[in-house]
Amino acid sequence: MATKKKDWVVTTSGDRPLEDVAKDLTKSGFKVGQVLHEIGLITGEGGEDIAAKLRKVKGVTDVSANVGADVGPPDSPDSW
Amino acid sequence: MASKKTTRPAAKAAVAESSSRPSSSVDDMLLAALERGDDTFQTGRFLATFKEGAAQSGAQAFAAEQGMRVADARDFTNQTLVMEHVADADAVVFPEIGVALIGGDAARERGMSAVAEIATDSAIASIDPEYFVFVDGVADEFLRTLDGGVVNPGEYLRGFLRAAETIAKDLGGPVVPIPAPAGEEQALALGATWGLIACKVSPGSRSGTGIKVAVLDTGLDLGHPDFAGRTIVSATFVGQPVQDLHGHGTHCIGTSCGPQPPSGSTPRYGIAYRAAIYAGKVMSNSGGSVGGSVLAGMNWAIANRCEVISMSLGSQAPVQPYYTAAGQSALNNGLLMIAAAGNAGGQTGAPANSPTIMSVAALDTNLTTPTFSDFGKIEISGPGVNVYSSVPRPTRYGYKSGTSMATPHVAGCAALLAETSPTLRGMDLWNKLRATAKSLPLLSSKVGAGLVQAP
Repeated sequence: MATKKKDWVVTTSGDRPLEDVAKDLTKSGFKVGQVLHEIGLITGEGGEDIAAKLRKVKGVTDVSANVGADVGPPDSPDSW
Repeated sequence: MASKKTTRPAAKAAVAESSSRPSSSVDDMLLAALERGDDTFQTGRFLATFKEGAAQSGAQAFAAEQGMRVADARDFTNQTLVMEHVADADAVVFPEIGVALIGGDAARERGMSAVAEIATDSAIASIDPEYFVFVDGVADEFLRTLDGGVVNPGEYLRGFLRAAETIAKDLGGPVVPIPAPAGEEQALALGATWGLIACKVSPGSRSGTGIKVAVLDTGLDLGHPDFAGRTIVSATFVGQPVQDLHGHGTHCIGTSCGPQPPSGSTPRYGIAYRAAIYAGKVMSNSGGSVGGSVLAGMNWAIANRCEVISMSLGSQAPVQPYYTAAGQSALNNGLLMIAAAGNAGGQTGAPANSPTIMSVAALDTNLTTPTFSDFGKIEISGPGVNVYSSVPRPTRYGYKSGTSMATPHVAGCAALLAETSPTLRGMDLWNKLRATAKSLPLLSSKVGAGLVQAP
């Protein structure tokens, strides 16, 4: 039974090469999106319950949902 | 004997008739051109230039002899002709310039074209194809869309059509003067916005030379005349062209990096007028982020070693570890992330609430905090009510309010400070901005160290 997919962001400690962490995340069922080298983050998609599994991967310090961002509606005098 | 016209290159065959009438919209014509794979940039319509003084008789001849339905710009108040309102006219005459626009099929039915002979006794001096007019990279984008070499052609086409429509309106529209809100008149008379004056930005201030300012937002109106000649590096992370169709990004880049006004027709509204502008489109034209676009933009700004990274965006969420990591990485690289606190009138949102990112609150002309300005974790404040800055053409300038507007004031001042010394980077720049802020008789949870000041 497939659970709903969410956008996740994995924060790493910097101790392991990012590619190695990404490989392990993929093995755990994570669909890797971006590997951001300057900030040591890996974004991607996974089921709602995947976070606990991913946190066990070596080098991972945090797994949080991507909260997104906003600047307000187009051509508006009010904004974020 | 009929005079011979010089031969023109043959236009691509079979123009979609219904889309090349005088009343056709630019969108329809562009779409038709894309659909028929036409890379000649011809719209399918023609422009007939009348001989001097012959416009009147020429227009009459179109109607009487050629059986065309002719609309005249004088039919409209002040000759403010709106093309979509000429209904089923075959031709529209512009008497002031002696030119008529002729629909594609109307021309073809009468044997008119850019290569056909024109009788010597004709009122017409020349018939030429009408061409699409583009600015800068938009022509390249049109050709790219034609080639189909883009990952998301639907999105690309929509973005391109909107950009083209904006340009088409720009070519005809007047620049409308905007009434200044209360408190602004004095500032305008002094030649700068109230925000710049409050931040002590003066003609003698630094320029931000040698400093890279990244603004992660909805992009930039790349053809806006106020940014001509500037170093601009742009990138998109949302699958839409960098061209700002929202307005927010252009306004924020204007405040942080706008020019010293060239002609004096607008007050000065920008701070770091010689900084290198890194416009990262992390928000779509509808104002929302796309997946990891904000993080990708942060990564890009750090990779490019932008000393100042300005982010007028966020969500009312608690501290996110990944934003904190991004902010830390910036500091580690001698760069400074500055973010808007938010306009929810509640606790500072993310990413501004990360301990490694400077949070900015808004101030009004009385240097008090408007009720919308978030509070709690606030490092510093900036002008954030009725802020005048650049917006996409044709409007060009406009007022906006929000912590979004306060943030680029801080970013601009940070660039000026960074210019004064190579040691003012990262955390040192953060501390200097706070140490030199104008102290205010308000809670630090509302205004932080106070109102940012330029060096």
